[in-house]
Amino acid sequence: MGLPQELVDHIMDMLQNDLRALEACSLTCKAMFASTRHLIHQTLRLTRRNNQSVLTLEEKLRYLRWDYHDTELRFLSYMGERGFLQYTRQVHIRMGRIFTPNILIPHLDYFRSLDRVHSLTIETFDAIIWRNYYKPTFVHFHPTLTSLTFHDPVNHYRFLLQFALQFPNLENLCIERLRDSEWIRPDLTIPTIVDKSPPLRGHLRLVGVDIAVQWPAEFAYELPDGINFRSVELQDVPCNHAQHILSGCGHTLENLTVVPRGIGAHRTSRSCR
Amino acid sequence: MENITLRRLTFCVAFPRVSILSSDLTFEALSTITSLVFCEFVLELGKLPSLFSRPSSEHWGDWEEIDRLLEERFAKRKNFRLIIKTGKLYDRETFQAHARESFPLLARRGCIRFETSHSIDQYWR
Repeated sequence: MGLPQELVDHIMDMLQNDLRALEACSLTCKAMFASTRHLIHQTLRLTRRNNQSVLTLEEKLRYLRWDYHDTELRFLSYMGERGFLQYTRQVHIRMGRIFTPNILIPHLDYFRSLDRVHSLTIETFDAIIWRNYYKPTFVHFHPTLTSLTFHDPVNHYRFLLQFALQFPNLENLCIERLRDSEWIRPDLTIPTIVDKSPPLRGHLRLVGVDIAVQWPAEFAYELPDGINFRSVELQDVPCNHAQHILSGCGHTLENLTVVPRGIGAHRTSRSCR
Repeated sequence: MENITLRRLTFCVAFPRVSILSSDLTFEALSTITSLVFCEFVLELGKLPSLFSRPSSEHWGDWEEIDRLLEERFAKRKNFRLIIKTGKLYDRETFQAHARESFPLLARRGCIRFETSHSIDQYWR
């Protein structure tokens, strides 16, 4: 007789960040298969590597001919066709180039079926490109999305903030290594927050880059009234940004963490949850 | 806008460069804190050497002004702590002695707490 299912579930929960162990356990018996399945598929990684692994020979040949815009997210449809997207709670998009609507639209139905996602990470994101596509592509995240992370986004932080503020339940925001933050359209404003329960009440993490060191401080100054993060983490920014955050980041800030620029070693990222 | 809720301020740095935190900017950041509930100043130190062979001032720099500021403005609060968080420590005694030498006023009050977390070693590379 095997272990009670509750015990198996508990053990699997303890292994939830160890994908290899989960996969090994899932092959042992039905009980473990059942309790590992949702954990194995809780993070959907839309990466070039995963995508390549599911392409047919014909699709690979098209890929080599640069005729690939409808196959760059083939992995998403592949997972959807097999019913795995029902387990997805976190989505990480890393295309190796700027993520554009053209890449997503051929697989939009499956993307819209992701209705329990609480954490979204997008690498190399340009919020301007998505301005006219926000409603058809991201509205289904409204009820559940609480954390949003941008790695290496391009364009001004105001676009990112505008994009982020559209998610009504968003609590945590992470912007890492923003590029091209100097250019700005004069008419671009950040929306005023009038809701009684405004978003962004959790954790803010800003990681600077050498060439655009001022944007985290400006970002803090420009946060609309009503946005009050409880904790802020600043990395690779000058120490004086701590003062800007203290004076500009609202009256609910409880924890401030600073990893100064030029410390001679790299501190790895922790995901923003 | 005045911050009235800040409880913890953390600075993270790789150990060979810990002295860069003993600067005016850290002093100024601490000076701007008006929160009455501020009770934890945390130094998270990564990449610790296995031996601390040099004098403490060479490793730590000059924290005298900051020690005095913390003592005058915050240390009188009952629950105030300077928390020094590190990864794995091989020469714990010397490290802790150096830290106390760098913050003599806080050490005298018994406000310094040392914490070890293995996850800190994973963050730094």
